[in-house]
Amino acid sequence: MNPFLQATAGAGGVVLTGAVDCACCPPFSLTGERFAAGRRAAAPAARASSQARGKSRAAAAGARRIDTHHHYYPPSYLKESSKHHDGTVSHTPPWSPALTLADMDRGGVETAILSISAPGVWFGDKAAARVQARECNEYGAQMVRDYPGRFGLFATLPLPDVKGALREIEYAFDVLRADGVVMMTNFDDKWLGDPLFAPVFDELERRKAVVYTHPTVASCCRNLLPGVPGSMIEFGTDTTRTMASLLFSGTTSRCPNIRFLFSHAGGTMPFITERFTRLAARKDLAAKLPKGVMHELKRFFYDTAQSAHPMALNSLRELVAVSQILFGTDYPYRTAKDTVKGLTRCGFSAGQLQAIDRKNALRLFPRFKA
Amino acid sequence: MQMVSTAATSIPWQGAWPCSCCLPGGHARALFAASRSAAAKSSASGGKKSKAAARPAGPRRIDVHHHFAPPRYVKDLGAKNLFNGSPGSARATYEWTPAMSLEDMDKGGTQTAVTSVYNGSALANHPQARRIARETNEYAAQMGRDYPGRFGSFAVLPLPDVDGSLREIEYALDVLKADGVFMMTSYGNQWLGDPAFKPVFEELNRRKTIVYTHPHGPDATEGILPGIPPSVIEFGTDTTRTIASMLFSGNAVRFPNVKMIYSHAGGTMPFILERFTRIADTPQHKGKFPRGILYEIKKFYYEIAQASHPYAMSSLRSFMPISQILFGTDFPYRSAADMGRGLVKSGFSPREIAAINHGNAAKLLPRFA
Repeated sequence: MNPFLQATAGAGGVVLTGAVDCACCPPFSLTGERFAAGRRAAAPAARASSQARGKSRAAAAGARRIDTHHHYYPPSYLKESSKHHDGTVSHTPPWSPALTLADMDRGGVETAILSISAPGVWFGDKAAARVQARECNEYGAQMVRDYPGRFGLFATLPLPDVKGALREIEYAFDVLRADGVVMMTNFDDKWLGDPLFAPVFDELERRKAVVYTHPTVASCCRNLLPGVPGSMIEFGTDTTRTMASLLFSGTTSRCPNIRFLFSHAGGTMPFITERFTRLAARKDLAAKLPKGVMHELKRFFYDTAQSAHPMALNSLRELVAVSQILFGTDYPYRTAKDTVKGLTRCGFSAGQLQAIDRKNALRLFPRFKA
Repeated sequence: MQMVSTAATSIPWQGAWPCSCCLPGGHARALFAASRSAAAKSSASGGKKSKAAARPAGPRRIDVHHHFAPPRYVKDLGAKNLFNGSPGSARATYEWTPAMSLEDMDKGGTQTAVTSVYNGSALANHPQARRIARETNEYAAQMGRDYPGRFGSFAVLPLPDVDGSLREIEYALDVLKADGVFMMTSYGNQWLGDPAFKPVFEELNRRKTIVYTHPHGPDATEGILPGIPPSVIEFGTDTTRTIASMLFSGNAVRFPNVKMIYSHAGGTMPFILERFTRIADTPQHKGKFPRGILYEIKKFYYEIAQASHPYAMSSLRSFMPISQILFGTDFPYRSAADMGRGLVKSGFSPREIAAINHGNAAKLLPRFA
């Protein structure tokens, strides 16, 4: 067992405090005041969360939300990714399991499906990526065990190393019982429909897996505009690119059992739906989409992280049924409470909100039904 | 400067075409080839056609996103450099005539189209960009004279050549009476807030000019997704980038008299508006927006070409006053009738549609009111 895992298991929730003041944090954060509050709340939250361990579920009384866009930062990952700071992410806010649980409790989140955010574990070295992916997955699985019912796990893969990814899929699903996998929207400027990744999608299709994608910044588009972080514009468009790549390569038609989940309400895709439908009319591409591009777009799932506002969700609702929209926060960049508040301003009915908060996600993750 | 009429004297433009959907076909091609050579030969007296230019009844749309391709522009830049393989591009490169524009305008209830070049990135950095820009703007001005009330002009500038652009602004606005200027969303790795373009915006601010921007796939993203044309994803994003560039460089606040029009409902900006407002609140940008970033965003104009559908409009409408939304078609890639239908499907009231079709643009371009 890794030393940091022992620390997790033994620390009663107050773990990884080293991560709180990590070197990559700039002197501000997007939600500075809120994070300051989070820091102050860390100690009591740790107590609360230690009570929450075992069968107790303080958060279960209310909406019992399932947050499908929720980041975690294993110490090994923080250490490694901070070595490769390339402007993809503007900063990494403070994080610990205690802070995570405190935010979940405040926002009525019963379960958070953990995932690594951008930049992911690929920095050009296969062996290092395999080690990182495994450590992230072990750490996540340990959190799932430590706080029953509170966490699920999207396993990290060492892509674009396909062989390593196939091995990690086997381990993550068969041994760690992961709830799905997380993929960056591109690896080394290869979007997910690239033929290189076909064996990975074939295996995930066989397993009827949930594939959650998280945006990153393509290498073309780093630091293009002074004062504008990559997450502001480039994230959205990279999700849109990978959706196009998956659709027009025929990957989504070939893998009807994969449940694709896209971040941030689909990046920017819903807004430019007509560009997709018009392109799909082209003969060569129509052949790749025998049921039509709309069939695929309407079966995908979309999370609400950073998109719980009418500008995004009015557009998304024109495209898909409410059944395809999942609650997501982007914690620790945004809070659960903030996202909940945003959703109430989007004109959903109470029943629709319940579906977004929990019921839709239960179709993907039935083990959280209890 | 030789003043050559743009009027196709041998071809009537009003409602005479058997069927616009056959345009790419051989018959139409032959006709347009004929009209093009007729245009080249005819004199300024072709302006007599103007009396046929009675204002059409109906929506009286003012189309602010309407491409034209003067024969010299196509010849100078090279058809093979302009043509990108799409049917719309074929029409623009090989078939465009004023008659073709007018036919679509009449069918779709467009009173006035404010023309801008297509594939403007082919002009940027062309060794003869100044001359080509000048001749293109002359051609547009002549169209305006030949068909009074039917055509306005967003004059193309030889950017990123700043000195040449300043000279062209003077000529196009003072002599040719252009209605505004046309800019690409980016030139190389420079978006419109780049300090290099400051003298241009200073001059445009002094003149209270309309700046219409058109997207492209910037150099950085060339060939990024094999088989997927840049117009599908990269165009929208580049508009979003240049909006961010205008805002966060301080240009939007610094040059309040410039009237910016962004294509395609703002690219993708409305969908990710919250990203903009949140970044504006960070200490890095403190004090940059004395009236708030939303004030600046709501001061810009957005045209509806390729975005006249509920997916884009439901987003844009959730925060944008109707007064900022303008009619645009992206002709010859899309038609006026098509964009008009999209507006109806997007759930606007008749009054809102009238504002988008005509009223809002008429305030910006009073000579077409």
